[in-house]
Amino acid sequence: MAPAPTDPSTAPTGTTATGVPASTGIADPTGAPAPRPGAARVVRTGVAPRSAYVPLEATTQPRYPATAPLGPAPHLIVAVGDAPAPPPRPGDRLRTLPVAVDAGALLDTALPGLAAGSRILVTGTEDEVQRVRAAAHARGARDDELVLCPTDTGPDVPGPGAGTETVRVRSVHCGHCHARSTARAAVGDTVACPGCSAELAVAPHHSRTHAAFLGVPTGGRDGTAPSSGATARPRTRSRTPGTDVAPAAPGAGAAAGCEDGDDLRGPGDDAAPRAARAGPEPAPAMRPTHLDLVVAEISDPGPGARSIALAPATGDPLPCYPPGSHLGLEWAPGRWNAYSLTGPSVHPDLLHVTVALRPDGSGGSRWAHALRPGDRVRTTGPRSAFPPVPTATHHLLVAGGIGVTPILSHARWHAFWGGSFQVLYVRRPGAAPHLGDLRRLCGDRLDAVTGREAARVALDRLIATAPFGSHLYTCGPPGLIAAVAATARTAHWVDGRVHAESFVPRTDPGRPFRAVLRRSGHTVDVGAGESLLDALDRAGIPAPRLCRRGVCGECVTTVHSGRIEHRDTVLDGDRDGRMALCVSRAASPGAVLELEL
Amino acid sequence: MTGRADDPGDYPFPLPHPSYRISANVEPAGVVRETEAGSWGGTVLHVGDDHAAVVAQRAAVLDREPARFVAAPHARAACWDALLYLLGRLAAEYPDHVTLHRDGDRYSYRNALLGTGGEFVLGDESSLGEHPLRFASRQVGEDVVVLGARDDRLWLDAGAVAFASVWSIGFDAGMSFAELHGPVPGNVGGGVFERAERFLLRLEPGEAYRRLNWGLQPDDRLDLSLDTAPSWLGRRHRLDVADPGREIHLRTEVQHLVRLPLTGSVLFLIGIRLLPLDRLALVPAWRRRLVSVLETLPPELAEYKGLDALGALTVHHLTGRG
Repeated sequence: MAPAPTDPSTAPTGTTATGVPASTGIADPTGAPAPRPGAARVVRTGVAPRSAYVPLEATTQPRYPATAPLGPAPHLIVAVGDAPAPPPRPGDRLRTLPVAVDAGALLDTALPGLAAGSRILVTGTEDEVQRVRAAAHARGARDDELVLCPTDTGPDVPGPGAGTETVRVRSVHCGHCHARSTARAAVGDTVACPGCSAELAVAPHHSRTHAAFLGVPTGGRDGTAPSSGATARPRTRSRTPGTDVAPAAPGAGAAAGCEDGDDLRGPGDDAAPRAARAGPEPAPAMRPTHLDLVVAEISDPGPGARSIALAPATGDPLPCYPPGSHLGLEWAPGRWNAYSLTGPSVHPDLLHVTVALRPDGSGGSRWAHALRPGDRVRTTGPRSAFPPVPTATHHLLVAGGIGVTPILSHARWHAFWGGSFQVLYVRRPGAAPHLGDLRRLCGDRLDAVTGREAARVALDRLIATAPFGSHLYTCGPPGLIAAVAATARTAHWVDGRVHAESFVPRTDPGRPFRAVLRRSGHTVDVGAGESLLDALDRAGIPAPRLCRRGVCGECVTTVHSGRIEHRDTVLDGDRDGRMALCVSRAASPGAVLELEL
Repeated sequence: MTGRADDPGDYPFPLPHPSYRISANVEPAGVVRETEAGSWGGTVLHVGDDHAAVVAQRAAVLDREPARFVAAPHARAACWDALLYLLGRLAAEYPDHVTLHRDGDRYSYRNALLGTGGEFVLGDESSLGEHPLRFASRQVGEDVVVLGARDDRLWLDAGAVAFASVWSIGFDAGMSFAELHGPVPGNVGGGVFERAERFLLRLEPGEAYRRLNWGLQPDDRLDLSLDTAPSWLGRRHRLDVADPGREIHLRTEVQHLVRLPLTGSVLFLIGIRLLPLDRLALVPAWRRRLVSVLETLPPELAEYKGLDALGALTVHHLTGRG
């Protein structure tokens, strides 16, 4: 069953196209009716420059995968105006939305009754479909739950650079006054903002939140011809967080940032001093890599479980951490076990972990159960791998046995911030660590059950009644995690809503190897758990560096011999004979690498 | 606290090499870096002689133009996280001027850098009188953006940005990291943005990094947002510059990227540092390197940074060539 036609030949044409109010005064580029509020007049077509080096697929212009038959999940079908819609099946619901009406009210009435595994199919013009998408996002929907079927897109005809020659109704968000208007225009055309009269180039930059294209001020105003310079170069790109916004030069390739590398090694008079001086640091901005703690309290929250409260051994305050974080405890030299943090996470006075005794384990839990107040413990900083998803409309938390520890942390968080949540605690008879803590936090938002069958019944009920936009978090034995995931999948939940805790260590510390340095004539032994860069620093051998995380490429060095285990992300596909000193290692323990250093 | 705003002594000169290309040039925050003229970087938050004026100017922009502040409802805890981090950072870096004390969920602070102080209760917006991120933006010299981490991606969840460099927080609100950089030419092939996003997502809560970005401008405006483009575009296009040494400024963005400790959101701080060419030229190595960078800048990069004409004028002024 094909939801809605996307072939433009079957869609109405002209300014009275389906979904577009016939009387909005949307201007034809060739003859301009007087602009009305909300309608932008097209000033020039194809005049604004379209950057010659931004291909269409690299822009944020919306694109639509080929429509597929309706999947097995129940669908809410939203048809805007008289757009064609697939007939609803049993379990589906069909709602129609008048054109140019905000979809928020419709969704506010439709979503509360919608099961968490549902999909939302939207049909209408691109402009209307995008507005419904924005309203659905604001109410917790994910893109992989939305099926968008615009009736007026069809294949875009690429124009020069990032532009398209396809003229259709587009919402334009004024970068100057933030007024929203609609224009019948191609990307790259220039329109007049009805809010402030500024001339705007319709940029190949589309916002999922505003459901609109960016209108970049050109410097001209409606009715006045801008200077030629003003229209020559409107900046149509946003510059935001975190990265350069300039193109790599042809040939610079993926290792951009490395091309000046030689300058680093033989500083000329123009090279800036490279080495970062370790200055007086009363207030380090980086958190310490390890914590030295002392056992403050111990208690037994249930049979076979030991809670350990850790205080700082020095005067340093303890770090905050996201709920669901864990702490690595060093229980023997070089041996670390990870345990979830269960206590308050905001400026904690103590860090709390609970350890289940595993008599047949390798020794970590026996060590933890033998700890006494006053014992010193070395730990990692808190690590976050199981955080709550703040966009969730509801959090469904499932704990099995000692897996209650991160769930307790989540429940504490939602109780503080007022989030909607429900806990299912699958316990063994006679053993339910932290059940009292959970009861105090959750009240009637807790189901505690014993046995596999009771767990299945409770799980089926909770998943079937979870509201649209819910997220599901499980921590417990692998069998429980698999059963929960299977139940959610059967109820058509998308994978992005199903989370499970795992304690897989992030990186293996690596084993020892040796580096022979050709230029300086030194030999450096690199220990387990230490980077080559650390070993070079220890030996007093200067080496370039910046990020120390294998992303910037500053420390990339030529390798003459030896097999490398590459751990960087900067040398993708171009690693022959080179390595990042800060993260990469010899491929086999005890091996010797020969480096140009 | 450091010296006058345009003193090269603590200026974060952004060009370490004789040529410039795109890179994910991040490094650990808070590490002092020496330059030919002095050093910078011992703190995350910059407090120069013009600190109070910069903070007041930001507050004025935010009060006048509501679109300079955005915050998704789900970013509430992350914005409180940002506020606590920033006040804590101020107290750690300027202990003689700023204090922050906690008693349970109740916090009291004093900021003698700005003559402010008060009490608030974590999670209680009424105790602040406004949104926590707007409140935070009144305490520091930097623009603040909060990126939420979900689905192995970053999302622009909130921000208070008065001094954007040719973008608009009001339009960019809600975008993914990839969408934010979507129309940027460097997105093609190099994978710099994907790499940067992966790097940020791998940071542990509490880790802080920084990077520098740069440009040139024919004036000393801090606010080069799209929101005010009609008031500065004209001069930029006309290249209406009578005295390049005093009017043309190097614009360095000191960007900090902090994985916030309580929520794992990424706090993005942008501090603008302007240096007029005449002051820059006092440091011969800087003058030579800026000229060399401008002369070897690939054309599309120069166009992207809006440097074709301004760059030529700058080279002309710094070299005295006709």
